[in-house]
Amino acid sequence: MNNHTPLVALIGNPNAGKTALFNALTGLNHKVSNYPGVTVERRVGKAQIEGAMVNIMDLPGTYSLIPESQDEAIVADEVNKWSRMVEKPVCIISVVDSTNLNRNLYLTSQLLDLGIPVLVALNMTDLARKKSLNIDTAELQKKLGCSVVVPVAARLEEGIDDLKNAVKTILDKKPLNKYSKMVPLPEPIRKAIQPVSDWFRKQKHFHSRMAQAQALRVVSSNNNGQFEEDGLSTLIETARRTVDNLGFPHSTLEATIRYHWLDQVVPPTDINIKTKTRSERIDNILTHPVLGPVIFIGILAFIFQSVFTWATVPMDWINNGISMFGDSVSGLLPAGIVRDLTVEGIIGGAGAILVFLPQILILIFFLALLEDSGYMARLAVMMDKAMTMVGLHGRSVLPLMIGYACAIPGIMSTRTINSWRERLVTILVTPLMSCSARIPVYALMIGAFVPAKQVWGFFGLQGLTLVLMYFLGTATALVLSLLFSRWIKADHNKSFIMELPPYRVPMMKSILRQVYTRGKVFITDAGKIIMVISICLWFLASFPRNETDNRTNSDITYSYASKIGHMIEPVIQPLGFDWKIGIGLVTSFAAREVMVSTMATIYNVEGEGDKIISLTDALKNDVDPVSGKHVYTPLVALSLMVFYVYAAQCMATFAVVRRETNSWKWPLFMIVYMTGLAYFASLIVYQGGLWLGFA
Amino acid sequence: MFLTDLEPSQIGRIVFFKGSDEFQVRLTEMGFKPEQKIRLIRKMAFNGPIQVRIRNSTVSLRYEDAACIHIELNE
Repeated sequence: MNNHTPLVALIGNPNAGKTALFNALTGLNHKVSNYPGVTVERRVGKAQIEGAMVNIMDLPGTYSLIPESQDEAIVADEVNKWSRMVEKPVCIISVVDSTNLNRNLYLTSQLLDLGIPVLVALNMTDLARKKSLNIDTAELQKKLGCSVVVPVAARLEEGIDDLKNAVKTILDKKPLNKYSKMVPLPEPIRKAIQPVSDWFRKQKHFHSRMAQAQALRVVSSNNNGQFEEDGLSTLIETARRTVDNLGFPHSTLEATIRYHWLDQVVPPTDINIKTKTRSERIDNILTHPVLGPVIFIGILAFIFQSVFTWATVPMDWINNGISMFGDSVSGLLPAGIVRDLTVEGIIGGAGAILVFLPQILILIFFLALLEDSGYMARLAVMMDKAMTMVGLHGRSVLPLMIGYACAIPGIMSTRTINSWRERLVTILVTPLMSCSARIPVYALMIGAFVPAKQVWGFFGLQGLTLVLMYFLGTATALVLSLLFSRWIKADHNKSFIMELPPYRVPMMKSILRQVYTRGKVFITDAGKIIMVISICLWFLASFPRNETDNRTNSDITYSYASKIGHMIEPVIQPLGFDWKIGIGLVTSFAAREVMVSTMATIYNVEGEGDKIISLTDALKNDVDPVSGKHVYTPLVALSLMVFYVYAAQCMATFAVVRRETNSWKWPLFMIVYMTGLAYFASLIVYQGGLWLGFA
Repeated sequence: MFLTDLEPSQIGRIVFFKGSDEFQVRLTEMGFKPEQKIRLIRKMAFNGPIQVRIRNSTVSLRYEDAACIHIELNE
């Protein structure tokens, strides 16, 4: 990050609308992929403010600077960095939900003590107006002692210019609230924590307000191990005993004191607690003991059905477009190695993947829709009991659902789970959820070998087969989590407290933005890997060339790729796989979707002429030269799909697991258990199928 | 009585709560405190999490956790 670009930090409660505000401020000027689900890491984007470039930092939502889970710890760590003057922002935008001002301002009151100008963005003013909550911004500013209060409606992009102007004013004039008054402490408490405040003032050179806030925090928080320096722990212990004796349990001291102040300054809005909200009425149906699960299963079935049916039209366009492109490139280049490499290797390989983009985007679209509407939070609550029974957590539902798109953001979103065992088990089983990289493999096999028949007049047989694959992965994930949670040591029992945001109509703009970002990341990231592998593979499959006069075998049988494939063949033959699939399995270790481009490259090299062939047709028509039988049967296709449900094939996932668990033990364990599972499940499917008489 | 003793739509006032330090801190930070009014929205089947209305927000708590919150009926 450029040191000369001023930094502005966005901090707020979960669901206060930080991310919407971040998007409104930065436009599409941020690099980090934007997955549906909660923000679980810090990310920085650029914003133009009155001609000046400003870095905007978005942080995970938190209720407090005393963290309860990994995502909240990121905010606390960031703030601690600022107190050491590392990457300190010029101003903090404290994003608050104006319909629930009093609770949201708790975090603001903690931010006010940091000695950094605080700009309070009163978000969701449109909703507050509807509830006829009138907030006097000038009055609020005075009472809080913050720099400025700006009403905004981030989702409607209202007030964004006012907010930018306010930031600009702070950038120009610098601190306005630096030494304003701290939350008033009752005198006996102030005295009790005074030695600790003094320590921070002298040893850490904190200004008095921040020293007092820091003292209040360390006396309250349970983190004992952190302070081994210069007798600080003794000071803290003494302070805690004094405070306890005064009748304020020390652990809740900070929260009690701040709320005491807030309840006077900003009394809780007098909305009648009896008033039933619209969301409660919606919940009567969506979280109904019987209807709720039925609706959830219906939603899932609908999503998977549409992934398969709606996507076929754009998939045909892409397919035709790629063939036409390949043909025209083929016409332009002279015959030879360069043309073969471009048409067969690059266009053939990359094209085979691009076809599946519509399905991936449709899946992302629905996940974003569920998250943005507020349904995901209900799902966590609804599923908590069932999830605890299999050793998971209500909050495991979101990671597992995101796992349907990609295991990596799924694993990262486990940071919201506050108990280590449940978090680890969720990480271990999330890669079993069929991610979008498996869609190309499933789609290829289903498209080629499962007839497009209707079952019960409504469901397509192809869609049902896809659902079956997803079900297989999901069911196995749940069974294994039960097993894993038995032998992973539990930390002490943690609680489950979750706020349910109001239902709201999803903003198409923000959903389409997520879909767009995902599509871009898929094409660039996956594209790079696939491109490199496709090119390498083309060489391996094309060389050494057939120098003999024997033209009955195609060139590929003489190639390096064929030699490698034949070496693996004995191991995978019991699963029904031939050497071509073997090569695909090897390349899949980089990323699963590479399987499809691998097959495409192999068949293109093998095929006669320079036309790009349809992979589906090639698979259907592939005949064993010796036996004269079809190489791929529906049984082989099923065995291969089952293998892909379980196999550990994505290196990026294991790199993330290593980072999140901070050890190599767990990623290695995952590779072993997933590969073993894949092998034996496919073995059972293929050999069982043969035994039952399916050829 | 405990929070879990409320029936849907009944309103109580918090008296005090027990539990681990972390639990108490998080509850306090979310605005749970003595004298605070709280309304039970619904209980889930099989002693699943309960939903409550407090300080203009809807919060869900596990049944076991809610059973640590002592309340009295708000007449």
